[in-house]
Amino acid sequence: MSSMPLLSILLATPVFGAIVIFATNWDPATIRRFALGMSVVTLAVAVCALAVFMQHTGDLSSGGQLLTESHSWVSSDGAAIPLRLGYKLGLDGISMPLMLMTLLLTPLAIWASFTSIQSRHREYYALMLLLFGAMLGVFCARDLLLFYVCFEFTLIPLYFLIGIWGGSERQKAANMFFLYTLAGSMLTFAGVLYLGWKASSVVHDGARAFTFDFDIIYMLHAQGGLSATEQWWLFVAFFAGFAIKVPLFPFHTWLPLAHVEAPTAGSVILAAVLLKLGTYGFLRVSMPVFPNAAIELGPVMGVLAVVGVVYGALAAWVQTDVKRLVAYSSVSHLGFCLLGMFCMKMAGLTGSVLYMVNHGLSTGALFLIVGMIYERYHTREMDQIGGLARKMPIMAFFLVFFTMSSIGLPGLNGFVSEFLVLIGTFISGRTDSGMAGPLGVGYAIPAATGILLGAIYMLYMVRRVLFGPVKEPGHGYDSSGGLTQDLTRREVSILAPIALACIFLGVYPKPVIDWMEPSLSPVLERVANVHMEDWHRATAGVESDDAAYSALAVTLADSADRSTLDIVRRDGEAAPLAAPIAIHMKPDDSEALR
Amino acid sequence: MENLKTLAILIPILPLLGMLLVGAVGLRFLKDKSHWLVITGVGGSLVLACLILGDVVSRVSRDEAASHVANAESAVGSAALSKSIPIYDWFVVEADPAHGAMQSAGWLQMTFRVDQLTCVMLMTVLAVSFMVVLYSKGYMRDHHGHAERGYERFFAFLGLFVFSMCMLVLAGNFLVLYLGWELVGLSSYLLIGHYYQKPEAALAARKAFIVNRIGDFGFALGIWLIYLTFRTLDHQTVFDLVAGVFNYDAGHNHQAFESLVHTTLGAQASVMDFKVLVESRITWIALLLFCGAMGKSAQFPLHVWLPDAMEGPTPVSALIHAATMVTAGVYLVARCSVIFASSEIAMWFVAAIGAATAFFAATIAMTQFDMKRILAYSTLSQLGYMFMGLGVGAFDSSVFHLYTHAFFKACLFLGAGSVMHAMGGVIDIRRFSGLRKQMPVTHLTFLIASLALAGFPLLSAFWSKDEIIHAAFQSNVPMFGWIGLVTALLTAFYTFRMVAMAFWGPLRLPQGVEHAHEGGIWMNGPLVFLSIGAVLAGYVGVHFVSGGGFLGVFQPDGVFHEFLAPVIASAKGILAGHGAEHAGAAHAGGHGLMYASSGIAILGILSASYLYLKRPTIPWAIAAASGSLYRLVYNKYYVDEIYDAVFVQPLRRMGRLCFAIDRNFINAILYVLGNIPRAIGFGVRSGQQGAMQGYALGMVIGLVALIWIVLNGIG
Repeated sequence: MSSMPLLSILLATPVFGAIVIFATNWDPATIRRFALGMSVVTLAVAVCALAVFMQHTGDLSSGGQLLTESHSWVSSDGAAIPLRLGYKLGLDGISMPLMLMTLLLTPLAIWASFTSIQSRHREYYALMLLLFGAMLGVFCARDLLLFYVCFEFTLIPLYFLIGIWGGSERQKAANMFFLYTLAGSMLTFAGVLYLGWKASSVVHDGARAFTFDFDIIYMLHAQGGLSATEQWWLFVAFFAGFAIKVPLFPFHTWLPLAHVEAPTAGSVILAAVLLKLGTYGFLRVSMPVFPNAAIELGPVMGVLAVVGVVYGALAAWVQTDVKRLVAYSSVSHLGFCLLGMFCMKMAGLTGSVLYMVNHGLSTGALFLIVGMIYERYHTREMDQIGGLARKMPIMAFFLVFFTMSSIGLPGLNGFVSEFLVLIGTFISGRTDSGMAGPLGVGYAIPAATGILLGAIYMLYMVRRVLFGPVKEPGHGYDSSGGLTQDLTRREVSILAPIALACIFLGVYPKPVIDWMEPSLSPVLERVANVHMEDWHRATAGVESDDAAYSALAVTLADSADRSTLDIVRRDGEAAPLAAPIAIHMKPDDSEALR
Repeated sequence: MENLKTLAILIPILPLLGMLLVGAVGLRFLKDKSHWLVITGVGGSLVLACLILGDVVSRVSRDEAASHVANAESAVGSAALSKSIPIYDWFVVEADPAHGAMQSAGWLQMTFRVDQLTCVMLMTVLAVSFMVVLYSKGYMRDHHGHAERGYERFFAFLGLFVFSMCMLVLAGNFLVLYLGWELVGLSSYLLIGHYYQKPEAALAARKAFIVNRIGDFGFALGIWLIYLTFRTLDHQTVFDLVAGVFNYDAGHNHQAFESLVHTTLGAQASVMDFKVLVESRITWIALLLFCGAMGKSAQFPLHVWLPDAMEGPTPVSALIHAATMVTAGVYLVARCSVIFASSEIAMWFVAAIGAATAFFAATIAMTQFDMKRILAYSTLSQLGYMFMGLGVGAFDSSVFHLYTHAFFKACLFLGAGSVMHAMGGVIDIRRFSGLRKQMPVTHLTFLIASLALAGFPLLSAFWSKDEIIHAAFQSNVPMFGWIGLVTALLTAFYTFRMVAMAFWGPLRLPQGVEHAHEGGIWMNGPLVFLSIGAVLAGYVGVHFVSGGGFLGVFQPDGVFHEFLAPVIASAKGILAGHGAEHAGAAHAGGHGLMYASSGIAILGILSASYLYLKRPTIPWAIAAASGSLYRLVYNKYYVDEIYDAVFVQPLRRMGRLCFAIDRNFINAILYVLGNIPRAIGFGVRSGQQGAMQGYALGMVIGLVALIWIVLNGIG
């Protein structure tokens, strides 16, 4: 594998750019060009990383990572249980697509800010680059603490982006956004610390340590290091941070406000990437580390997701502000995303990760278009603008295109993920493929109404904004900043790459799916293991088959606590490294599952 | 196989290329010559479709020749027709760990399928599309030959439509079918909304898309249920499995069926369990698929979008909303004939919906004055006939009617477009009359197509409609046959009501129009071609006998039915097993009905002509006398209003409620929660700054409490 620390360079580039912008005193035009240049350099580094990644995709099989880097950061050997904090990066098939989406959209969002940002350029572009680095950090991190730090750090730049360059209620929106998400992630932090402490029960390389290394934390469950009660509480603690970020109903109320007030680029980044940090967190931490709790709470997550799908769609339909409508559509879409995750079928998980990417592309583009309209008319109220297809045909083309992508037109990206999520939910309850997920047809049918409601509210918006007689605010369009009536060449160049990505992912998503599968199957196997364990435990002591079934049903609720001592003893008995089993089932081992 | 594959890929690609080129060079350079790109694309596809038809026919005839010399081994040419042609891996549906990740069977492929039914659909779609594209070249211009605004866009979307429709009929699995299904919906949306500045057009476009989505919701559920049951979405595999299940008790070939079950569902699958499962779900699958068909083919109660869709340019109405796209539902049911034939309830439901739509749409057509709307309701009614035919098991007759209908209905719409073009956009038949002198070509072609629609003997629709009515009389519910006959009378009446009011009688033109112009060669050429089709198209479905047939010469069931027979053979087999009295093929001796329906057609034509030419006051008097009944029909049974009150408004109210909950309830709780720490933490200043600290304090308290609980919890 490559000896270059590509991922570190990748993270450092935007941060370096931010520092340079802060340190120098350039004029706005230079700053703009420099910021865009740095983001493009980051993209170029990522392309190198992608090339390496694609050469070695074979190594992804069963939970491997690529481009790994690992350095010790804090290491105190004095205490009985030494503290080892590490700096560990790596990419797998889940984080790679999300990172590519981030890498595509952030430079475009920076480019889109060229005309919309008219004040305090230095701070704005520096913050954008900082945000860029933090987001990439979340996806690269292979250490829970690093993950959490990056996860939290994204709040700060966005807080200022909304609070300084936002709309009229920007202060309120920024505060609500900040406090809401911070409140959740404080609980998550408690969970992070607790997990690190528990990780010290795992013997790795013949020693135990207080650590946040994902690989060690992943071993916790397989070695019985977390009781069902602990898992339940930890799941709830992480839920607090992730669910607010997603945002899952009923924790979504900060989102419409934040979107409406945020500047265009802020909205794009918020919708496309920051919301995905929550779903990514569920997939990276909650499901693999607390599989018992994930199964137990699966139905709760399913209900919240389904309610979110319908609720978000209905609320979107009655909006008059285009931006708020798109914001509510995100609530609806992210419900799908979680539904696919907690159906615990490969189809659903694949669909869920694809959904994260696809929602980022289509909703990001929709926010960009809304921003372009806003720059011209200084309003987003559908009562004040209408019939714009006549005035802005190119914009109309893109708006209809991304609307179709958003409502899941087959042939475009949204369809593939929507279909996979729903089919995963449908077959979730089926046992004949080894294990039954917690959801099923009862969740799938109400969620599927989302594909109908999605068409209703999006086409409602399209009709009002694009069709009918031309309706403009009295002052006409604002041509300051070199804007023409229809989209400028720069604006077309911003939207076109996203459109191409949408077509590619709709017509030929195979390469991306090929990456995902090997990284997702360990997650699923962990969940499947829970089922098998419960099955064995339930059948061990019970005579009749009927009793075994009913015992299986109650096991999830009150599986026995296992003390730390017990685990150590178990470890002593087993070979010092039960690790391979913990990290991933080898192909022959998974045979046993069937 | 390779030959078929290449052709099958090229057919949809050519119109797509046409569309992309219009976008790439047409908009900027070719401008009002952009039509050439699309004409070339669609024309090329038509040629390829002829080649594909030739290929299929030669395979079938080679097999027949081989079977005559009793050489079964060489009879494999047409066996390839029932197989899907894989194009590439699209996406993966299932790779559970227990299944072993990434097995190739999990990939859902882009597959095509070329068989006899596909050929019929391709020929129909592409022939009519080609005519309509040519016609549009003349129609989408003003009287000076200048292209209308949006000319290039119009042709690009026509190309998109032809591409999507080809994908739909070429699909080899349910997902590709769904792809084409949704893409034709998109083209329809874009083309109905062509005159987007008209609010009615924008609303009609949205309504079409959303009503279709309601149907597609059911369709998608049906596809998922199919997957849940059969673990595959491949057409032929699903059909073979269904046929295997429903022929099991009578069948001989258990081994083949069982091995198919095992290859599809895994070696450990129990065949008997599977049989029970399929039997319990087949009705649901059929009904859910039919939901999609009802939406796309505008059957009651999802018919409301089609009349409004007439806001689109007339060539679009002719192509999409009469001849091709709206028949996709009929195609779907015919394609899945095995699934439908396996469920008596579903068959009955299809027939009942078809009969109801046929009748009610015909009654509405009698009261309308907008030529295009009359034709739209007539389309609904004719589609109703087709579904009735499908529901009584006459799958081939329905496809036959689909095919003849495409020609005469496209001709009628294009004729109406010609009139509209000449009348300066006026289409209300109360505002003009007697056009026959000034528009002889339009008049003649419109008259021929009207005769065909009315079921005049020896014209194309006569044969196909009669077969359907005949099959309905032979079915378990002869009532359907009677409905068919009554509707035939209404059809003849409303058609000639329209012809009489528009073309006959004294010459009268709307204000501002001095002379009614014919549309020129680009418009008249397709009209003439289609009217010839309206006369002759039916003769592929009859054969000539010497004595004993209708008028002593004609016998139903021609090469068309023979050609289609292999596609629907297994459905017919299942129906025969059910013991259902079905006909379609069994026409022998049914000539009495042919004479009867000829009489009915002529009666309708003559009575309408007489009433509207000689006694125009009588219809008004009848309308006035029937009062509220007339108003009920005239207002289309108030279906739109009922939907608005029952579905749309309550949903909007729920949406407002959700938004209100967000703003007032959830945020209020948050506000209260956020203020508890502030109330506790006295001395903290009010305002934003204070709230921030309050939250932080609350968090710290919460954090401490959580840690305490967790630590104590594990003792």
